[in-house]
Amino acid sequence: MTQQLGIVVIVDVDAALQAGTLEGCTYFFENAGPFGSTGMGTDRLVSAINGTYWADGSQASEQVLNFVVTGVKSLPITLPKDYAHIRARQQELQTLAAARTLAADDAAANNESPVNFFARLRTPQYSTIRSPSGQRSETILLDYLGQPVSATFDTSELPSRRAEAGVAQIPPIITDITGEAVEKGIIYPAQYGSPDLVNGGWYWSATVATFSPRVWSYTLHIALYRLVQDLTTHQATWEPVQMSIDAKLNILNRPMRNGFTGGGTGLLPIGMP
Amino acid sequence: MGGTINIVLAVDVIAALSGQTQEQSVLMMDDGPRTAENPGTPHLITYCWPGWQLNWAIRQIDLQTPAAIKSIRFQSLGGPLMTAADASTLVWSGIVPACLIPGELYRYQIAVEMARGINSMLFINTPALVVPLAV
Repeated sequence: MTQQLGIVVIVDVDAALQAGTLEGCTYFFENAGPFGSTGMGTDRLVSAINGTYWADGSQASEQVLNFVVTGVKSLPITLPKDYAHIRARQQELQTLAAARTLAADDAAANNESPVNFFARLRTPQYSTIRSPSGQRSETILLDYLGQPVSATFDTSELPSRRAEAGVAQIPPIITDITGEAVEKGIIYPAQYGSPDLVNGGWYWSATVATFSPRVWSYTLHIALYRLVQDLTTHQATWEPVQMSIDAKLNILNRPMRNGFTGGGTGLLPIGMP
Repeated sequence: MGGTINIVLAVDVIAALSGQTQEQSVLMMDDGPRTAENPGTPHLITYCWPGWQLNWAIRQIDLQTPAAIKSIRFQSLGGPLMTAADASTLVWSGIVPACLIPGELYRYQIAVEMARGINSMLFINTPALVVPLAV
């Protein structure tokens, strides 16, 4: 059976940054459960890979692995890439509408003073993402509900302190796949561009050479993001922290059998209608 | 000896697991010399002849979803003869026997395993084989 195997890696980023390791903070899920995979929901995944062959010895199936990483405290990675900007734009429009109301001197009717208005004024808080390769990009901080985390004119509290409590994390990303299975040519991993903008339009995938039945180990290198704040400028930056976790493939090599006879091809088991 | 007819079952696994009807999630078709009845539906009626080999295969519409044929049973006899823990190592093919009555519909059931557990089994009871009256 030709099939693509989706391997989902969910990381508890807070716990991993605190522990300094992905072990115990990583949860693997994939879709070959009915076909013998073990360790789902733990950090010890063994994916069953069907290396079936026909009676003449030729391969009966191929396997492709697709990797998806996300964080426990991250927003769904399937949201549109410009989701944060859409939400920030909504907030800006609301602020502008309120300012127009104030300018039209309706404030008196609402018993609102300009001072109160400015105290309530909410603007999106921006942060910088520093990629593992050093590139910088800007993003808007969102909370778990997908709303922009607001900075206000009230500077009595550091914006980051408020932000840390309720800010959705930047999802971790895979930066490399190495290990025994890669060195021995059992899997051929690569990063591919995707028209789906999940993870910025990039994803890791690997093809599996199923002719070597054994348990093979590989290592996922994952960059987690830690939110740090410059105390003087209040500038928030997501700094990458590199970690790695091992996973395994259990390549099975079994003969294809006829479902009707258990052996070769025979008459179909049809009798009277 | 006759020829070979491939019967392909295309399953939209996500739709099937999301509670869609079989009409919306299962498509069947074959490549027999005589055009099948109801192609593209789970009500496929395949025309076949004694001595011909039939091969059943399953294709997932979304390749990232698992699906395998767990069993094919003809209503007239029990079956399947094989019960395998891992349906992905089974190939489904057989020769049409000589005892079929031309014009009679021989319905069969395909059981598809899409994930773990009894709720992930899809039973398609509507396809059939028929030996045409005029060969």
